[in-house]
Amino acid sequence: MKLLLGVPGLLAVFAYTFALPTFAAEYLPVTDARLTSPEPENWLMYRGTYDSHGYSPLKQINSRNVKRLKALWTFSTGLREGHQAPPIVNGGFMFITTPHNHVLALDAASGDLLWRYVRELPEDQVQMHPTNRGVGLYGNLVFMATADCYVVALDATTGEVVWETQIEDYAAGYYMTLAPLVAEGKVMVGVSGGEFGIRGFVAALDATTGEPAWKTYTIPAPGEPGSESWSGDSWKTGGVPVWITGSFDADSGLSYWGTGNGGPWMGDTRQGDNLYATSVIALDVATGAIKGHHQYHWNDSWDWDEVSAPLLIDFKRDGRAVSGLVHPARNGYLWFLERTPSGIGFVDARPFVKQDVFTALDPISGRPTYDESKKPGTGKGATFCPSHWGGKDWPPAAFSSRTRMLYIPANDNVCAYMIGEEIDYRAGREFMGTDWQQSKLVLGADAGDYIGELQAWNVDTGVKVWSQTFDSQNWGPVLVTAGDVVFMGGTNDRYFRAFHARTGRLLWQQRTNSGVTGVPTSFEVNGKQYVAVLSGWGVDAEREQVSLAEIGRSGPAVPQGGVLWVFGLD
Amino acid sequence: MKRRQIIAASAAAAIVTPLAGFAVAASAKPQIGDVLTHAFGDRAGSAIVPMDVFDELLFAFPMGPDGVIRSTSLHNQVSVLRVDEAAMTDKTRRYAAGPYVAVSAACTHTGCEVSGWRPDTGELECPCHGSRFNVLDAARVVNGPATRPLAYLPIEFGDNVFRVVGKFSRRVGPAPVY
Repeated sequence: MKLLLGVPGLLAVFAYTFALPTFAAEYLPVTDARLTSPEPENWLMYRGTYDSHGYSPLKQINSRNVKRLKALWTFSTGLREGHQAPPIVNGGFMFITTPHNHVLALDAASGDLLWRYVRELPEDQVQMHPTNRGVGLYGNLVFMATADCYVVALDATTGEVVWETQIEDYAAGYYMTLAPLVAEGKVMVGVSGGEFGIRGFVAALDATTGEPAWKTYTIPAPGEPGSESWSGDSWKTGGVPVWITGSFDADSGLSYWGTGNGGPWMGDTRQGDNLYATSVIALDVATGAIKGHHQYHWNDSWDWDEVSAPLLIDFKRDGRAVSGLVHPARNGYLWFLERTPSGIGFVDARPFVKQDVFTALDPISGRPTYDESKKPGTGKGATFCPSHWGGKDWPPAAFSSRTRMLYIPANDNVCAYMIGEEIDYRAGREFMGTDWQQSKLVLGADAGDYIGELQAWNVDTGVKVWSQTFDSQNWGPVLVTAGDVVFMGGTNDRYFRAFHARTGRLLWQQRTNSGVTGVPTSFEVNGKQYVAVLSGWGVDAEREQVSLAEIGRSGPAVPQGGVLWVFGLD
Repeated sequence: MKRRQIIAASAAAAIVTPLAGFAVAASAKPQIGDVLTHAFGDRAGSAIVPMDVFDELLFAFPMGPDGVIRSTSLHNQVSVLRVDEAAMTDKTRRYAAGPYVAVSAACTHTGCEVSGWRPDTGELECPCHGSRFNVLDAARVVNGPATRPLAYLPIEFGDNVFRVVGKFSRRVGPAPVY
């Protein structure tokens, strides 16, 4: 760990000379109490609240007037690739991150740039997923998890580096793209690098000092519970990254993290169930101890990362109130789980897109049985649905307690043919073991109708209520508001859209500079509500577009370049 | 896909530590006179000879005259390939040693290791985002998202080794981001 108190040193901070607005001198420190119950006007973390609902209680902008929504200001980041971060807002200060690890602080109302931090990244680092998904806040600090695998803490009002702590060695294939989770005075991050033979983990630091607190691997070492589910030495390089922010239950002190698939991608290279891959794990924030888990599917062979954290939703089942976890999975099933004193229990699950791999689920455990002909292996090709990008990839779903609906940004009717090849581990080098010259996407029978979809499910009945479909693939994170509006972009036609939360009717749309894969947020400054989102196409949205074009499903060219859009009523 | 020189003897992936037992400098670019050596596998650190190079892609690191590997950074890693000498463009030929070329393994898009090799078409392919480069024609981009060619490391052959005879032909890896 490097402590850089007051010494920006090798890290560049460009402090601009704009006169700071009045509120700049009154930065409101972020406390545990505020994180547990954020004010409606602020958006203090990745999904707004610890339960990961992606819900804003603001309703000045609502289903009746959203058609009058206008772009009030924009801000060009000057960078290419995937702009996926939510605009995080605290008392009029807005913070966004960009690919290649810039942090920008802006006046959330006027769009004035307050400062910009630029991370100096190693030249020889592989940027397999050039993106960053936003900051975490605590006290007067702003935290970013970096591509070279550091957590850096910046002064919220100046952008100066207060401390930075190395989490792992980028040269061994570790990197980070997620927004940190801040809870109980700790900053928690997970690592990417499942394509490079890492051993995944979640790590916690003291939020004030950056001192390491704990580190919990997602793959148990020999002798630890679950270690029997990995063959040979496969645990050492088995992947299982954590690259999306966890949820947190302040009552129990448990954080819930989704985990990625095992590596190499072919399950036959690491025989066994491979705990805790493709699972949700409950980590005690105080100690890092694993207090429960549920594995959505065992011995993954489809690249179905289940990294999205489950939404903490209390739902009803057969007249019973369930303290639940809800996860629309990359494997194409919508999972309803229960938080119990002893861990995580299975309630039920059903496919939300066409899924031809699972033949049955155990009614007690939820463990799926596979159609083995749909499971690729080393030298064994197989076609399966949904594709390796899944029924829902990383873009987060949202939940409204007003409508009782879960809003899922889905992709349907795209399958994949995949075949594995033998591969040897080399530190820091690609370790997927997939033959990309033979592997390809395969369109499903109904692809002519649609691929992208926005679905709304009633969580108490487990029934789909409405859906909107798109020709394009959909990579749009979802925001829902108390004004009964659902906001989402994600399509290759560059639109950012508003839908009626109860009916799905399209209410408004704005064409933007690029494709919108940013996480939308809503906030209020001086009594005025805003909706903000980054538009900036890249990473897997672009990659899927290339893969679809290769099988004859071409889409429009989507220009790159990040722009922050901030909307409001006139 | 012809992708690399290591063929696992068993189904389980072997763990290959690059250059175990060989001295590695902290960081240094290839220098004129360096010898190309096997980057990985049982023969890591030993000089590459023509009979090692067939249809498979072979990764190499340059080794200085003192027997020290310059660096194991991907930016020092090259793919040693055998191609149809008659089909080379003049631009390619200036970097080649007969039918052999050494091409940077760092993709110019986002810096991934370019590990796919199609000897029938003379194309290198990046597994991360699918960029393809024509090695016969100055490693120009055949298919994006990369927009810039790969760099060649100029080589000659003599005394049964491949030696570096110049700097990389262009910037290695992606362009810097400001």
